[in-house]
Amino acid sequence: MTIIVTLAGILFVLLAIINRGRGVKAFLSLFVNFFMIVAAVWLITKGWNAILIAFIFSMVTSGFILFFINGINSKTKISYYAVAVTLLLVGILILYVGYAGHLSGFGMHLNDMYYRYEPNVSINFTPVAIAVILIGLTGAITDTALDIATSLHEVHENNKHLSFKELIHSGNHMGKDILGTMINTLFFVFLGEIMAFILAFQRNGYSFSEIINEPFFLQETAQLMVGCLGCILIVPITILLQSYIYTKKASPYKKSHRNEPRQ
Amino acid sequence: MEHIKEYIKNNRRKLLILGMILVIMSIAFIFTKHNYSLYESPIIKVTEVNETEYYEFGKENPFYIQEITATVMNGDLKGETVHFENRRTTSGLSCFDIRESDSVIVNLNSDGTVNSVDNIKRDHYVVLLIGIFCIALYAISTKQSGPVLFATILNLGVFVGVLLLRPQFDIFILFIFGTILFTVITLFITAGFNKKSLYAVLSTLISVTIMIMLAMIVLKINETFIAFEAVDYVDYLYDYKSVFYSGVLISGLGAIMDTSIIMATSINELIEKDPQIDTKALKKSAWEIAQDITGTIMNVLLFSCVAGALPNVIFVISSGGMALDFAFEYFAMAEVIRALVGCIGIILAVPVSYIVNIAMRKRWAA
Repeated sequence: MTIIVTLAGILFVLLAIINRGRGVKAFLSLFVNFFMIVAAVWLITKGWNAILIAFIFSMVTSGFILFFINGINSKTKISYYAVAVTLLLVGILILYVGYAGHLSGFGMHLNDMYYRYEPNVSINFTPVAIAVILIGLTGAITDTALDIATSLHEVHENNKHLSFKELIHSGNHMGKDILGTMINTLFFVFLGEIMAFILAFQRNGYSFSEIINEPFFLQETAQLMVGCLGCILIVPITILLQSYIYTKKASPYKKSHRNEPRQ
Repeated sequence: MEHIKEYIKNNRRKLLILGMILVIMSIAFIFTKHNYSLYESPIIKVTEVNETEYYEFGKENPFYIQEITATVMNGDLKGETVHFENRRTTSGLSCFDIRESDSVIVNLNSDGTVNSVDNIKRDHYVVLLIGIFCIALYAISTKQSGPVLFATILNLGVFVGVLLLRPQFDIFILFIFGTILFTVITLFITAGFNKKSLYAVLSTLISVTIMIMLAMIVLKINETFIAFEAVDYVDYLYDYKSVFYSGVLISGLGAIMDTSIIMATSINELIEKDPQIDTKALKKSAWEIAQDITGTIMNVLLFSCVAGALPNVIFVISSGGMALDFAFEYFAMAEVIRALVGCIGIILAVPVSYIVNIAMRKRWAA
């Protein structure tokens, strides 16, 4: 526990120095989000449906990150709707892979753990595995949506005359850069997670076919691929939604908000 | 209808390549689904499952006996029908949950009966996911998808290289070199061979160095308190400590690269838009941008790192009756450490990027 406290302390000091007020807010957000993960886990152990909990968790956490940290405005509202839609779409894919691929969140190497604990608990772990993937990608898709929404908002603010099509075109341009970095972030976390797993398989000369059929490998691959897919999907969804709202005939956003007279 | 026709006309090349990728991925998926002949072990395809529930004395949750009928798909006994019994649990753990139309890898006795179940065949789902990802990536971004995939494949190559060299060298040292390669490969390939990328590479490497030194001081002092990847791998890895530290090093790398390149790009933009911009305004703008991005990236890291440990936590709480806080402390510690250290690296990347970008520009200008 000392380690966590020390590291968190270092992080807090750095945030306070470098980002000041916003930094402290960001630190608090980490805290709150971790607490929400704990709450979600607790509810799942109490028997609540894991997938339902994951969806609720995603919407609550996404809302917290968007509205509490970044305020309630057109950007965050659009991002929130985009996250909801993407979550549903991606959720369908994960449901299929989770059940068809017989995921449990564990791998074969964990059979040793069962000598200490009774494995036949009342919670079925396939929904848990699916829920875990959903929980993992919440942060990534929220971040991507907000990045897109913010950039496109700036473009719109400076170029009110842009039509629906032109805005979409702009959005696509920016989306590509943002995607690349997000995919990288997720990829290296993936490497960090499978590292111990792959290295444990190096002994005894385990074969390639054993790794590729291993449930834990599919679980981590699914987390990476579905996470990236969520980020990829949310870009056009956000852009379409935002472009539509900004270019509607009677849209309040057609007026520039920058030069509003002070009352 | 007109819109669609116009779209197809304008994007013929892209749609053609997209179609090709779709076809290639579909073939790959179907091939992997039926690649029974590539396997040494016998694989059977289940045609019928009949389940009966039963309770064991003293156990709270039911078990299920599955009477399974299946056809052998490869090897000498191809085409034969086999029958066997499989036991599954309510939780789905410590067992195989076999359903109809599953392909199961088994060990067969010489008389054609099933000795034991090795695993359920799921390699085609890995291919499916990668395929969907490639299709979506190309669909959304023609220009970027190539570099991103190329960089990822090279990075995987570096990773495999580290694995191969593992017997001879300490894996943590190997991953230090790996980090340098990862950074150079990723940033130069995805952002181009230019000064901007160079600054990002330098910022990343400096940030990572400071980050890992800070982390190692804290971790090494408290080494006895670290739950090294919990109980999973300690038996299997002779160098489990180094593996853990390597994981800490690598996990945040993507996010730090992310921060560095965004900082480098933004500072580049600001200076290009207004070459006479004074230092104070530049610093203020750069810091503003940094505050926007670091807050959300840290959360991305937290979620993706911790999510992996959650099934373990849920299991020991519901099974062994371990308390919630202790379960998290023991099983999620490695992940939380990775996330926190990564966040430290991200925050460090902000001032480091700023200093590197400004200092290097002054040198070039002078």
